[in-house]
Amino acid sequence: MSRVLVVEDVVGLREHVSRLLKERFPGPPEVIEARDGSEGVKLARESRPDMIIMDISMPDMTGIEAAEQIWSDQPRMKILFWSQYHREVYLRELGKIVPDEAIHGYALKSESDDKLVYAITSLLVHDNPYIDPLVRGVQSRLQCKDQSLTDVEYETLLDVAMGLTDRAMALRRHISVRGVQSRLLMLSSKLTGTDDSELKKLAGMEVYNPRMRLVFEALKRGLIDVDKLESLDKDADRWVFEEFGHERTGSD
Amino acid sequence: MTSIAPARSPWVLICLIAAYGAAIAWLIGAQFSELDREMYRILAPALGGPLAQVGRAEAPSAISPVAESILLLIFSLAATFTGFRLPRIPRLLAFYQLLLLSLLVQWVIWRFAEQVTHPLGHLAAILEGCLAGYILRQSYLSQRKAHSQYCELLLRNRELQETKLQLVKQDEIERRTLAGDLHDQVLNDLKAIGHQFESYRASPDDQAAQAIGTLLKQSMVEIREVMESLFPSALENLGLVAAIRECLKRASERAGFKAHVESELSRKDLKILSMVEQSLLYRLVQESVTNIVKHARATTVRTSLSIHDQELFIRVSDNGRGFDQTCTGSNSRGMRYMRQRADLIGATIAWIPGEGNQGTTVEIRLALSGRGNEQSSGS
Repeated sequence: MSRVLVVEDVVGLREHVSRLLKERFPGPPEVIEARDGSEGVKLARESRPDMIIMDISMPDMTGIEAAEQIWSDQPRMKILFWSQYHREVYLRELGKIVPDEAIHGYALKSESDDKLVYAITSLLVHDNPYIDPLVRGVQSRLQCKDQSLTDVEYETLLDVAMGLTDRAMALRRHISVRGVQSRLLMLSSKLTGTDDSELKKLAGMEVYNPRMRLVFEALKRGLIDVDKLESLDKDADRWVFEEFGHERTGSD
Repeated sequence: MTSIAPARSPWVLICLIAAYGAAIAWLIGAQFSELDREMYRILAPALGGPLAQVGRAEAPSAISPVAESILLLIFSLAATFTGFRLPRIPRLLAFYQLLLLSLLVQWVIWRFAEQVTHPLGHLAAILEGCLAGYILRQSYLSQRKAHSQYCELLLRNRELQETKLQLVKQDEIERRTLAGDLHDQVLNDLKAIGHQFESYRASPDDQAAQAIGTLLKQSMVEIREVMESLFPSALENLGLVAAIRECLKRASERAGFKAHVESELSRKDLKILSMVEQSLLYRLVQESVTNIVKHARATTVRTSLSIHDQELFIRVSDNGRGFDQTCTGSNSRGMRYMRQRADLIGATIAWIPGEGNQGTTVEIRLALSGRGNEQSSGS
């Protein structure tokens, strides 16, 4: 049975999430409630939950400060931020404090219960970071032709195709490195499907480069729109400048 | 406010002092005239002159009191004037010149009119004049200084009044915008929800309920937008650097330039700044960014926050059209307004044209000295 800690200062919302956890999840998970950031830090240390649902704007200690303290103690803790703020800067600031080993998520209070349940499941069950698409940057608005891939998977695919490293992807998408790896795993299980471990054992070595294989599969299936490569590149340039202040010269 | 009388012209005073000095000098001179004459008698053979040539070496006759008085008055006046007008070393030089001139005049009178004046009286007149002039000068200068300080105070006061008025005006404009936003976005949404609710009451079905839900969500988003424009939540929850980053990001998406924010500030540095300072600094950056969006046509904007020598520097540099001298009309008002805002927290703001008049750097500086390690002002 899993254990979930809910840190939220508004009573109504706290109870709402508790009820949701009890009604919508098999088990049901044991729910612990904390009324503010410092109590959340204390309870996280004492009860060692599997996951924390954390409000951001709370009196005295914000959810971000509380998360930082919790992560300094338990760097693998899964924390889903449940916030009313839909600005990307919040993700960015969170991305700065999230440890490489952690999985975290960002869900919006204004969205439906179904989305919150999806977010909780994503973190709790699949170890997959969940960032509400409303908060994510411009790129996610590019439409994916194939409906079998989710927005997040498509975004990851494009980042891989562009040649970004895990760390760069983590920085760009404001998630942890472990989150990126988990996304990559999900993506390759969907695209390449077959398990390579048998081949690997037979050959005694890595036969395929998994990333190249991913891009190859995507091209084969027509998932990557060649006409959009230009705008993707521009977006990446933009991001590089934003993040590092570096301007690519001589590309024209 | 108490009014300080402006400094009056000191010339009448100078004349009075000089006349008074001359009278005293004449009296002194009269007192010592016996001595003076004796001195002339001794000096005559040594200096040469009509009396010596005659060889009588007798005491010469004294000059008439009227002539003496006029002479003394002239020298006293000159000395007072000198003392009043000239500073330090020039005053000393002029004093010696006056002494020499007086001796020359006395010698000429003796030599050609065979009459003697009172040298000690002359010396007294010149000394007194110089001293009195000096004292007068000091009092006059201090009075003028006080007056100019008063004028400065008046000017500052008026400026402050103007700033206040400007701020109130700006406040008024913002309120009007807010009222407009509330009306256009929120009230209309609520109206729509009301209508939907009416129709739901008439025939309760799932579709109408869903429509109400959507509208509610929409109006929530819009209320948040209005709140965001009033006071950026990022500033409150994440601090100045994150808020500036967000501001630039949004502007860059709107205006299509690339933006980079670099900060050397730690969270501890930020805690030194009060919330009011942070929000005013934020507004200054926001205004600069708005100006870039409106006027500069930039493709990249670099923003940096740093601390050097106990001073906070925020620089916003664009690579746009640079400072346009021709459109300063409405521009300068905005700049003055920004300067006034900066003044409120003791910060300075400067617009520095880029190299070859390409681009502009807005530099905001705030002295942090004297607040050292105190962190109590973070609330």
